[in-house]
Amino acid sequence: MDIVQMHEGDVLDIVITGQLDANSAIKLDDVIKEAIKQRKTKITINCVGLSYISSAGLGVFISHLDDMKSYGGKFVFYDMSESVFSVFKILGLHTIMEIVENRGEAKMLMDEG
Amino acid sequence: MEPFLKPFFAPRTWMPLLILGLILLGWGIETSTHYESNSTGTLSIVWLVALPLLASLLALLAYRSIRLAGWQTKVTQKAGRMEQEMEIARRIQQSLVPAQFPSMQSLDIAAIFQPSKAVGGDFYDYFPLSDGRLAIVIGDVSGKGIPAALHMAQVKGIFRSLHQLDLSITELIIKANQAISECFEKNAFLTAIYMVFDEKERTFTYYRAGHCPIMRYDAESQEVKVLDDTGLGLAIVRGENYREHVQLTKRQLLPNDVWVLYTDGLEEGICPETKEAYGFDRLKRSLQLSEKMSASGIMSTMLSDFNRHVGSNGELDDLTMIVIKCR
Repeated sequence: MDIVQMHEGDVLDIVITGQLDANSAIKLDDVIKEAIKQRKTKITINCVGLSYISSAGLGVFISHLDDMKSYGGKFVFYDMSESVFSVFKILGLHTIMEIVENRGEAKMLMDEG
Repeated sequence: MEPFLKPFFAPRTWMPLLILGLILLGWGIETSTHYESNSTGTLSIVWLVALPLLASLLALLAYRSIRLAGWQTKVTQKAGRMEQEMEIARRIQQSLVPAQFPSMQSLDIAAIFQPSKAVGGDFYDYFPLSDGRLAIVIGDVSGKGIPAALHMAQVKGIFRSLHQLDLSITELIIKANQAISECFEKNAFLTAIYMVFDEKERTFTYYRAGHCPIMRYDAESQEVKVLDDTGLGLAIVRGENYREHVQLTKRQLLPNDVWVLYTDGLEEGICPETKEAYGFDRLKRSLQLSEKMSASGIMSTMLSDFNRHVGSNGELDDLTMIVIKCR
């Protein structure tokens, strides 16, 4: 799995490529922890190259939900494949996390606050 | 070994000495071949240095080999003990899931619990309630192996304790979410289906907490349907806010209806050759083909089809399944 971080104003865009499993989840967790430490809590997740997400991968986002909220931030996911979206949907995460079509919508949602 | 001796036994210490010894030995042999008669002085000095050096290095290597063999024995013993302990843990966990469901007039139930390693994070259980009702729960803790198994034991205890309180289904789920949230680390969660069978009404009232959808063979339409009612996994939203996600569904049961509850290990079993997951369509087809059988017959047929797909070398996740056939 590859993680690329791009900073645009106060928004951090994280591009995840490959499989987000138990091993790679540790790497992603470090990236998000560091972002929260620097109060970069407006995070968009580019999922266009994300081919698989395990429960450990989902756990990374779930574990930071409260911290993100308490600092007035959030995760916005975009360009998610149907198979990854169905994992979010079965678990019910689509009801508590923002998932949109593309980067433009994600940015707009982030600007709205 | 004493810590202060360690540097003397390190390869970086003895390797140059060994090379030096070999060079001196080579020189000694060379010298003895060419100057057999007239250079005894040089010869003896070379042998005098090379031989003791080589002898001590060989002794050192022999000592290291003995120590290595001892260490290997210790590792093997430790691995053996670990294996024994895992076997005990496996047996204990197997005893945490009921061997069989109570015999009921209207339902025929079969179930299987099969962790991918010695222990796993799946579970199922049942609880007899007042008025002849029966609660059934199936769950899957995120992750695998020992951490998931420890959480599984906690979850089992939580559900068992809450059933002493005679709560409504919604209250029981909210309290379970609260208790599980307090036990789990922040990155762990549980998916589950909690359902209550009412024999008088012949109904199932259930909540799908982010778990794999229920597969239901509808005897009336003779079709397999997917009950993917909305719901959220447990320990994700921690606190009273979880209440807004809990929506119960009530369904009437017809004779010969079949309900299959399962964990994702069944859907996600990978075929080693094609790398293809078993998938929902195969599951559906295998239920459709076996619907006339008893609950255990349906379960065996579905598992055989699954095992054919994953083969003997397939990479497996924890797998749990409950098949309920209505009489």
